[in-house]
Amino acid sequence: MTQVRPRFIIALLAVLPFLAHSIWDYVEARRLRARIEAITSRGEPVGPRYVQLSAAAADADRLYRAASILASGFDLGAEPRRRHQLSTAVRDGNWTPDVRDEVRARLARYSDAMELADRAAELPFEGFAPGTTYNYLTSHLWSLARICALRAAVRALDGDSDGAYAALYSAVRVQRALDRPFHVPGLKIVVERSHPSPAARARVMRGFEEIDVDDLPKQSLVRMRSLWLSGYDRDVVREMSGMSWLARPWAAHRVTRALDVFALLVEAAGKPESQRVAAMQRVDGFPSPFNVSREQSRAALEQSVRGFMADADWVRCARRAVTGDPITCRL
Amino acid sequence: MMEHDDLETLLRGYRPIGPPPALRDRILNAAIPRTDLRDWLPVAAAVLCAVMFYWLADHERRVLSASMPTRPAIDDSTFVFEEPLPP
Repeated sequence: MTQVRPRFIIALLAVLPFLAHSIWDYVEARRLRARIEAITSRGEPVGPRYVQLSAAAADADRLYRAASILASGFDLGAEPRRRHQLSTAVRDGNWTPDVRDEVRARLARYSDAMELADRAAELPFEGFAPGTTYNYLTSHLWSLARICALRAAVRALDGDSDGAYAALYSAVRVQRALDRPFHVPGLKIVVERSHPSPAARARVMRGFEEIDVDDLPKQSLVRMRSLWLSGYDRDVVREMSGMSWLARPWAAHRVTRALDVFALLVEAAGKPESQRVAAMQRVDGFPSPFNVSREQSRAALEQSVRGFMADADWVRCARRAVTGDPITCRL
Repeated sequence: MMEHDDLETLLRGYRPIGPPPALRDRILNAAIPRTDLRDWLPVAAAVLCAVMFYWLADHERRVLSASMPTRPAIDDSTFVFEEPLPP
Protein backbone atom coordinates (compact mmCIF):
# COMPACT_ATOMS: atom_id res chain seq x y z
CA MET A 1 0.00 0.00 0.00
CA THR A 2 1.34 3.47 -0.98
CA GLN A 3 1.48 6.39 1.46
CA VAL A 4 1.06 10.11 0.76
CA ARG A 5 3.27 12.38 2.77
CA PRO A 6 1.39 14.51 5.33
CA ARG A 7 2.65 17.69 3.69
CA PHE A 8 0.52 17.01 0.62
CA ILE A 9 -2.54 16.60 2.78
CA ILE A 10 -1.75 19.78 4.69
CA ALA A 11 -1.27 21.66 1.43
CA LEU A 12 -4.55 20.34 0.09
CA LEU A 13 -6.36 21.28 3.28
CA ALA A 14 -4.87 24.75 3.05
CA VAL A 15 -6.01 25.21 -0.55
CA LEU A 16 -9.55 23.81 -0.20
CA PRO A 17 -10.99 26.81 1.72
CA PHE A 18 -9.76 29.11 -1.04
CA LEU A 19 -11.35 26.85 -3.62
CA ALA A 20 -14.64 26.93 -1.72
CA HIS A 21 -14.38 30.72 -1.38
CA SER A 22 -13.67 31.17 -5.08
CA ILE A 23 -16.69 29.05 -6.06
CA TRP A 24 -18.88 31.06 -3.67
CA ASP A 25 -17.48 34.29 -5.10
CA TYR A 26 -18.33 33.18 -8.63
CA VAL A 27 -21.82 31.94 -7.75
CA GLU A 28 -22.68 35.20 -5.96
CA ALA A 29 -21.29 37.31 -8.80
CA ARG A 30 -23.39 35.33 -11.29
CA ARG A 31 -26.52 35.70 -9.18
CA LEU A 32 -26.01 39.44 -8.83
CA ARG A 33 -25.44 39.86 -12.56
CA ALA A 34 -28.64 37.90 -13.27
CA ARG A 35 -30.62 40.19 -10.94
CA ILE A 36 -29.24 43.39 -12.48
CA GLU A 37 -29.84 42.08 -16.01
CA ALA A 38 -33.41 41.20 -15.06
CA ILE A 39 -33.99 44.78 -13.92
CA THR A 40 -32.50 46.34 -17.05
CA SER A 41 -34.37 43.91 -19.32
CA ARG A 42 -37.62 45.29 -17.88
CA GLY A 43 -36.46 48.77 -18.78
CA GLU A 44 -36.13 49.83 -15.15
CA PRO A 45 -33.22 52.00 -14.04
CA VAL A 46 -30.21 50.73 -12.12
CA GLY A 47 -28.61 54.14 -11.76
CA PRO A 48 -28.76 57.72 -12.87
CA ARG A 49 -30.42 58.13 -16.24
CA TYR A 50 -28.99 60.33 -18.90
CA VAL A 51 -31.92 62.41 -19.97
CA GLN A 52 -31.70 64.93 -22.73
CA LEU A 53 -34.01 67.63 -21.46
CA SER A 54 -36.07 69.64 -23.88
CA ALA A 55 -35.38 73.37 -23.88
CA ALA A 56 -38.41 74.18 -21.74
CA ALA A 57 -37.71 71.31 -19.33
CA ALA A 58 -34.09 72.44 -19.03
CA ASP A 59 -35.40 75.84 -17.96
CA ALA A 60 -37.70 74.20 -15.40
CA ASP A 61 -34.72 72.20 -14.14
CA ARG A 62 -32.52 75.23 -13.48
CA LEU A 63 -35.41 77.35 -12.16
CA TYR A 64 -36.34 74.69 -9.62
CA ARG A 65 -32.73 74.23 -8.59
CA ALA A 66 -32.28 77.98 -8.17
CA ALA A 67 -35.57 78.31 -6.28
CA SER A 68 -34.71 75.39 -4.04
CA ILE A 69 -31.40 76.98 -3.08
CA LEU A 70 -33.19 80.23 -2.25
CA ALA A 71 -35.77 78.31 -0.21
CA SER A 72 -33.17 76.39 1.76
CA GLY A 73 -33.21 76.89 5.48
CA PHE A 74 -36.81 78.10 5.52
CA ASP A 75 -38.52 78.04 8.87
CA LEU A 76 -41.35 79.94 10.48
CA GLY A 77 -39.35 81.78 13.09
CA ALA A 78 -35.90 82.47 14.41
CA GLU A 79 -36.75 81.70 18.01
CA PRO A 80 -37.36 77.94 18.55
CA ARG A 81 -40.32 78.33 20.90
CA ARG A 82 -42.15 80.72 18.62
CA ARG A 83 -41.26 78.62 15.62
CA HIS A 84 -42.87 75.63 17.26
CA GLN A 85 -45.98 77.65 18.13
CA LEU A 86 -46.33 78.87 14.57
CA SER A 87 -45.77 75.41 13.09
CA THR A 88 -48.42 73.97 15.38
CA ALA A 89 -50.86 76.76 14.52
CA VAL A 90 -50.35 76.23 10.79
CA ARG A 91 -50.68 72.46 11.12
CA ASP A 92 -53.86 72.73 13.16
CA GLY A 93 -55.34 75.42 10.93
CA ASN A 94 -55.36 77.88 13.82
CA TRP A 95 -54.60 80.96 11.74
CA THR A 96 -54.99 83.85 14.14
CA PRO A 97 -54.17 87.35 12.81
CA ASP A 98 -50.84 87.21 14.63
CA VAL A 99 -49.93 83.92 13.01
CA ARG A 100 -50.94 85.17 9.58
CA ASP A 101 -48.88 88.36 9.94
CA GLU A 102 -45.83 86.53 11.16
CA VAL A 103 -46.02 83.94 8.38
CA ARG A 104 -46.48 86.70 5.81
CA ALA A 105 -43.45 88.56 7.16
CA ARG A 106 -41.42 85.39 7.10
CA LEU A 107 -42.45 84.60 3.52
CA ALA A 108 -41.42 88.06 2.33
CA ARG A 109 -37.78 87.01 2.57
CA TYR A 110 -38.45 84.23 0.08
CA SER A 111 -40.15 86.21 -2.68
CA ASP A 112 -37.34 85.38 -5.15
CA ALA A 113 -37.76 81.65 -4.55
CA MET A 114 -41.53 81.90 -5.03
CA GLU A 115 -41.16 83.88 -8.24
CA LEU A 116 -38.84 81.25 -9.70
CA ALA A 117 -41.20 78.46 -8.58
CA ASP A 118 -44.08 80.26 -10.33
CA ARG A 119 -42.09 80.44 -13.55
CA ALA A 120 -41.06 76.78 -13.33
CA ALA A 121 -44.67 75.75 -12.66
CA GLU A 122 -45.64 76.89 -16.15
CA LEU A 123 -42.98 74.70 -17.78
CA PRO A 124 -42.85 70.95 -18.38
CA PHE A 125 -40.63 69.09 -15.94
CA GLU A 126 -38.74 66.01 -17.15
CA GLY A 127 -36.27 65.61 -14.32
CA PHE A 128 -33.02 67.18 -13.23
CA ALA A 129 -30.02 67.22 -15.52
CA PRO A 130 -27.53 64.44 -14.73
CA GLY A 131 -24.95 65.41 -12.18
CA THR A 132 -26.90 68.35 -10.80
CA THR A 133 -28.67 66.64 -7.94
CA TYR A 134 -27.30 66.40 -4.43
CA ASN A 135 -28.39 65.10 -1.06
CA TYR A 136 -30.07 68.24 0.21
CA LEU A 137 -31.90 69.05 -3.03
CA THR A 138 -35.00 67.14 -1.94
CA SER A 139 -35.00 68.88 1.42
CA HIS A 140 -34.72 72.28 -0.28
CA LEU A 141 -37.53 71.39 -2.69
CA TRP A 142 -39.74 70.46 0.24
CA SER A 143 -39.01 73.87 1.71
CA LEU A 144 -39.93 75.47 -1.60
CA ALA A 145 -43.23 73.57 -1.78
CA ARG A 146 -43.97 74.55 1.81
CA ILE A 147 -43.28 78.23 1.13
CA CYS A 148 -45.61 78.19 -1.89
CA ALA A 149 -48.32 76.42 0.13
CA LEU A 150 -48.08 78.89 3.02
CA ARG A 151 -48.29 81.76 0.54
CA ALA A 152 -51.50 80.20 -0.77
CA ALA A 153 -52.93 80.05 2.75
CA VAL A 154 -52.01 83.66 3.52
CA ARG A 155 -53.57 84.82 0.25
CA ALA A 156 -56.72 82.82 0.96
CA LEU A 157 -56.98 84.47 4.39
CA ASP A 158 -56.51 87.84 2.71
CA GLY A 159 -59.45 87.08 0.41
CA ASP A 160 -57.34 86.74 -2.73
CA SER A 161 -58.89 83.52 -4.06
CA ASP A 162 -57.28 83.41 -7.50
CA GLY A 163 -53.94 84.40 -5.99
CA ALA A 164 -54.30 81.59 -3.45
CA TYR A 165 -55.03 79.05 -6.15
CA ALA A 166 -52.13 80.36 -8.26
CA ALA A 167 -49.78 79.85 -5.29
CA LEU A 168 -51.36 76.46 -4.64
CA TYR A 169 -50.70 75.52 -8.25
CA SER A 170 -47.01 76.34 -7.82
CA ALA A 171 -46.87 74.23 -4.64
CA VAL A 172 -48.51 71.28 -6.39
CA ARG A 173 -46.21 71.60 -9.41
CA VAL A 174 -43.09 71.45 -7.22
CA GLN A 175 -44.19 67.92 -6.38
CA ARG A 176 -43.22 66.83 -9.86
CA ALA A 177 -39.64 67.24 -8.72
CA LEU A 178 -40.17 65.33 -5.46
CA ASP A 179 -40.13 61.59 -4.96
CA ARG A 180 -43.49 61.52 -3.27
CA PRO A 181 -46.53 63.76 -2.83
CA PHE A 182 -46.15 66.69 -0.51
CA HIS A 183 -48.96 67.14 2.00
CA VAL A 184 -49.62 70.81 1.33
CA PRO A 185 -49.96 72.64 4.67
CA GLY A 186 -52.90 75.00 4.83
CA LEU A 187 -54.74 73.38 1.93
CA LYS A 188 -57.88 73.11 4.04
CA ILE A 189 -57.86 76.88 4.66
CA VAL A 190 -57.29 77.55 0.98
CA VAL A 191 -60.20 75.42 -0.23
CA GLU A 192 -62.53 76.63 2.54
CA ARG A 193 -61.80 80.33 2.20
CA SER A 194 -61.31 80.67 -1.55
CA HIS A 195 -63.80 81.08 -4.32
CA PRO A 196 -61.52 80.99 -7.33
CA SER A 197 -62.38 81.51 -10.94
CA PRO A 198 -63.09 78.34 -12.90
CA ALA A 199 -59.82 78.77 -14.78
CA ALA A 200 -57.75 79.05 -11.59
CA ARG A 201 -59.49 76.02 -10.10
CA ALA A 202 -59.11 73.97 -13.26
CA ARG A 203 -55.38 74.66 -13.34
CA VAL A 204 -54.91 73.33 -9.79
CA MET A 205 -57.09 70.33 -10.59
CA ARG A 206 -54.86 69.53 -13.57
CA GLY A 207 -51.79 69.88 -11.34
CA PHE A 208 -53.16 67.35 -8.85
CA GLU A 209 -54.28 65.07 -11.65
CA GLU A 210 -50.73 64.92 -12.93
CA ILE A 211 -49.27 63.77 -9.61
CA ASP A 212 -52.11 61.35 -8.83
CA VAL A 213 -50.68 58.33 -10.60
CA ASP A 214 -52.02 54.88 -9.81
CA ASP A 215 -48.67 53.11 -9.66
CA LEU A 216 -46.97 55.70 -7.46
CA PRO A 217 -45.76 53.07 -4.91
CA LYS A 218 -44.23 51.02 -7.72
CA GLN A 219 -42.56 54.08 -9.22
CA SER A 220 -41.26 55.09 -5.79
CA LEU A 221 -39.81 51.64 -5.15
CA VAL A 222 -38.16 51.46 -8.58
CA ARG A 223 -36.65 54.91 -8.01
CA MET A 224 -35.58 53.94 -4.50
CA ARG A 225 -33.86 50.81 -5.81
CA SER A 226 -32.11 52.80 -8.51
CA LEU A 227 -30.84 55.32 -5.96
CA TRP A 228 -29.76 52.52 -3.67
CA LEU A 229 -27.84 50.82 -6.49
CA SER A 230 -26.24 54.12 -7.42
CA GLY A 231 -24.69 54.29 -3.97
CA TYR A 232 -23.38 57.35 -2.23
CA ASP A 233 -20.28 58.19 -4.26
CA ARG A 234 -20.15 55.15 -6.52
CA ASP A 235 -22.52 52.34 -7.38
CA VAL A 236 -22.72 49.16 -5.33
CA VAL A 237 -20.93 47.06 -7.97
CA ARG A 238 -17.92 49.36 -8.10
CA GLU A 239 -18.06 49.68 -4.34
CA MET A 240 -17.82 45.89 -4.15
CA SER A 241 -14.82 45.75 -6.46
CA GLY A 242 -13.02 48.11 -4.14
CA MET A 243 -13.52 46.04 -1.02
CA SER A 244 -11.45 43.15 0.30
CA TRP A 245 -11.62 40.09 -1.98
CA LEU A 246 -12.46 38.02 1.08
CA ALA A 247 -15.62 40.04 1.80
CA ARG A 248 -16.86 40.33 -1.81
CA PRO A 249 -19.05 37.21 -1.94
CA TRP A 250 -20.83 38.20 1.25
CA ALA A 251 -21.35 41.73 -0.04
CA ALA A 252 -22.71 40.38 -3.33
CA HIS A 253 -24.97 38.01 -1.41
CA ARG A 254 -26.44 40.90 0.60
CA VAL A 255 -27.04 43.02 -2.50
CA THR A 256 -28.69 40.10 -4.28
CA ARG A 257 -30.90 39.41 -1.28
CA ALA A 258 -31.94 43.06 -1.11
CA LEU A 259 -32.69 43.06 -4.85
CA ASP A 260 -34.84 39.96 -4.39
CA VAL A 261 -36.86 41.76 -1.72
CA PHE A 262 -37.11 44.83 -3.95
CA ALA A 263 -38.36 42.62 -6.82
CA LEU A 264 -41.10 41.17 -4.60
CA LEU A 265 -42.11 44.62 -3.40
CA VAL A 266 -42.16 46.10 -6.90
CA GLU A 267 -44.29 43.21 -8.12
CA ALA A 268 -46.67 43.61 -5.17
CA ALA A 269 -46.85 47.39 -5.65
CA GLY A 270 -47.78 46.87 -9.30
CA LYS A 271 -50.89 44.88 -8.41
CA PRO A 272 -54.39 46.39 -8.61
CA GLU A 273 -55.06 48.75 -5.74
CA SER A 274 -57.49 46.41 -3.99
CA GLN A 275 -54.77 43.75 -3.64
CA ARG A 276 -51.76 46.03 -3.30
CA VAL A 277 -51.52 46.56 0.45
CA ALA A 278 -52.01 42.88 1.30
CA ALA A 279 -49.49 41.83 -1.36
CA MET A 280 -46.88 44.29 -0.08
CA GLN A 281 -47.42 43.27 3.52
CA ARG A 282 -46.83 39.64 2.58
CA VAL A 283 -43.27 40.50 1.57
CA ASP A 284 -41.01 39.62 4.43
CA GLY A 285 -39.15 42.81 5.25
CA PHE A 286 -37.84 45.90 3.56
CA PRO A 287 -34.45 46.24 1.85
CA SER A 288 -31.86 48.10 3.82
CA PRO A 289 -28.20 48.86 3.16
CA PHE A 290 -27.56 48.29 6.85
CA ASN A 291 -27.65 45.24 9.05
CA VAL A 292 -31.08 45.34 10.62
CA SER A 293 -33.00 42.78 12.60
CA ARG A 294 -36.00 40.96 11.16
CA GLU A 295 -38.31 42.98 13.40
CA GLN A 296 -36.77 46.28 12.27
CA SER A 297 -37.05 45.24 8.64
CA ARG A 298 -40.68 44.27 9.16
CA ALA A 299 -41.39 47.58 10.90
CA ALA A 300 -39.76 49.47 8.00
CA LEU A 301 -42.02 47.62 5.57
CA GLU A 302 -45.14 48.44 7.59
CA GLN A 303 -44.11 52.08 7.79
CA SER A 304 -43.43 52.29 4.06
CA VAL A 305 -46.73 50.69 3.12
CA ARG A 306 -48.57 53.05 5.46
CA GLY A 307 -46.68 55.98 3.95
CA PHE A 308 -47.52 54.98 0.38
CA MET A 309 -51.18 54.54 1.20
CA ALA A 310 -51.35 57.81 3.16
CA ASP A 311 -49.80 59.65 0.20
CA ALA A 312 -52.29 58.14 -2.24
CA ASP A 313 -55.23 58.90 0.09
CA TRP A 314 -54.04 62.46 0.62
CA VAL A 315 -53.69 63.20 -3.10
CA ARG A 316 -57.15 61.81 -3.78
CA CYS A 317 -58.63 63.81 -0.93
CA ALA A 318 -56.87 66.97 -2.14
CA ARG A 319 -58.17 66.40 -5.67
CA ARG A 320 -61.72 66.17 -4.39
CA ALA A 321 -61.23 69.20 -2.15
CA VAL A 322 -60.01 71.54 -4.88
CA THR A 323 -63.07 70.79 -6.98
CA GLY A 324 -65.03 72.71 -4.36
CA ASP A 325 -67.19 69.76 -3.36
CA PRO A 326 -67.64 69.01 0.35
CA ILE A 327 -65.22 66.34 1.55
CA THR A 328 -65.25 63.83 4.37
CA CYS A 329 -61.60 62.83 4.10
CA ARG A 330 -58.87 64.47 6.21
CA LEU A 331 -56.57 67.00 4.62
CA MET B 1 20.11 -24.13 26.52
CA MET B 2 22.27 -22.58 23.89
CA GLU B 3 24.87 -20.15 25.13
CA HIS B 4 25.32 -16.78 23.49
CA ASP B 5 28.71 -17.75 22.04
CA ASP B 6 27.20 -20.87 20.47
CA LEU B 7 24.61 -18.77 18.71
CA GLU B 8 27.29 -16.48 17.33
CA THR B 9 29.19 -19.46 16.04
CA LEU B 10 26.10 -20.82 14.37
CA LEU B 11 25.26 -17.49 12.66
CA ARG B 12 28.78 -17.15 11.33
CA GLY B 13 28.06 -20.17 9.19
CA TYR B 14 25.50 -18.12 7.10
CA ARG B 15 25.86 -15.05 4.91
CA PRO B 16 22.87 -12.68 4.67
CA ILE B 17 21.85 -12.13 1.05
CA GLY B 18 18.76 -9.95 1.60
CA PRO B 19 15.07 -10.49 0.92
CA PRO B 20 13.77 -11.35 -2.52
CA PRO B 21 13.50 -8.26 -4.78
CA ALA B 22 9.70 -8.18 -4.73
CA LEU B 23 9.59 -8.33 -0.98
CA ARG B 24 12.34 -5.72 -0.75
CA ASP B 25 10.35 -3.32 -2.97
CA ARG B 26 7.22 -3.79 -0.95
CA ILE B 27 9.06 -3.14 2.28
CA LEU B 28 10.83 -0.07 0.95
CA ASN B 29 7.68 1.33 -0.67
CA ALA B 30 5.89 1.02 2.59
CA ALA B 31 8.69 2.49 4.64
CA ILE B 32 9.79 5.44 2.45
CA PRO B 33 7.06 7.92 1.34
CA ARG B 34 6.91 8.43 -2.41
CA THR B 35 8.10 11.66 -3.91
CA ASP B 36 5.99 11.24 -7.01
CA LEU B 37 4.82 14.51 -8.64
CA ARG B 38 1.39 12.96 -9.01
CA ASP B 39 0.92 13.53 -5.29
CA TRP B 40 0.79 17.27 -5.95
CA LEU B 41 -1.94 16.86 -8.54
CA PRO B 42 -4.93 17.36 -6.21
CA VAL B 43 -3.29 20.42 -4.68
CA ALA B 44 -2.40 21.84 -8.09
CA ALA B 45 -5.89 21.11 -9.40
CA ALA B 46 -7.46 22.84 -6.40
CA VAL B 47 -5.22 25.90 -6.87
CA LEU B 48 -6.03 26.03 -10.58
CA CYS B 49 -9.74 25.71 -9.95
CA ALA B 50 -9.61 28.45 -7.31
CA VAL B 51 -7.75 30.77 -9.68
CA MET B 52 -10.22 29.96 -12.45
CA PHE B 53 -13.27 30.70 -10.26
CA TYR B 54 -11.75 33.94 -8.95
CA TRP B 55 -11.08 34.96 -12.53
CA LEU B 56 -14.63 34.06 -13.55
CA ALA B 57 -16.06 35.99 -10.61
CA ASP B 58 -13.93 38.98 -11.52
CA HIS B 59 -15.10 38.70 -15.12
CA GLU B 60 -18.74 38.70 -13.94
CA ARG B 61 -18.11 41.82 -11.91
CA ARG B 62 -16.40 43.55 -14.84
CA VAL B 63 -19.34 42.77 -17.15
CA LEU B 64 -21.74 43.95 -14.47
CA SER B 65 -19.75 47.08 -13.81
CA ALA B 66 -19.74 47.92 -17.51
CA SER B 67 -23.53 47.63 -17.62
CA MET B 68 -23.99 50.01 -14.68
CA PRO B 69 -24.42 53.65 -15.68
CA THR B 70 -21.48 55.76 -14.68
CA ARG B 71 -21.95 58.85 -12.64
CA PRO B 72 -21.77 62.03 -14.63
CA ALA B 73 -18.57 63.94 -14.23
CA ILE B 74 -20.15 67.00 -12.71
CA ASP B 75 -16.95 68.99 -12.83
CA ASP B 76 -16.42 68.47 -16.55
CA SER B 77 -18.07 71.72 -17.49
CA THR B 78 -15.59 73.54 -15.25
CA PHE B 79 -12.74 72.30 -17.40
CA VAL B 80 -14.57 72.72 -20.67
CA PHE B 81 -15.66 76.28 -20.12
CA GLU B 82 -12.68 77.53 -18.18
CA GLU B 83 -10.83 80.17 -20.09
CA PRO B 84 -7.23 79.35 -20.93
CA LEU B 85 -4.63 80.99 -18.79
CA PRO B 86 -2.72 83.83 -20.45
CA PRO B 87 0.69 82.77 -21.71
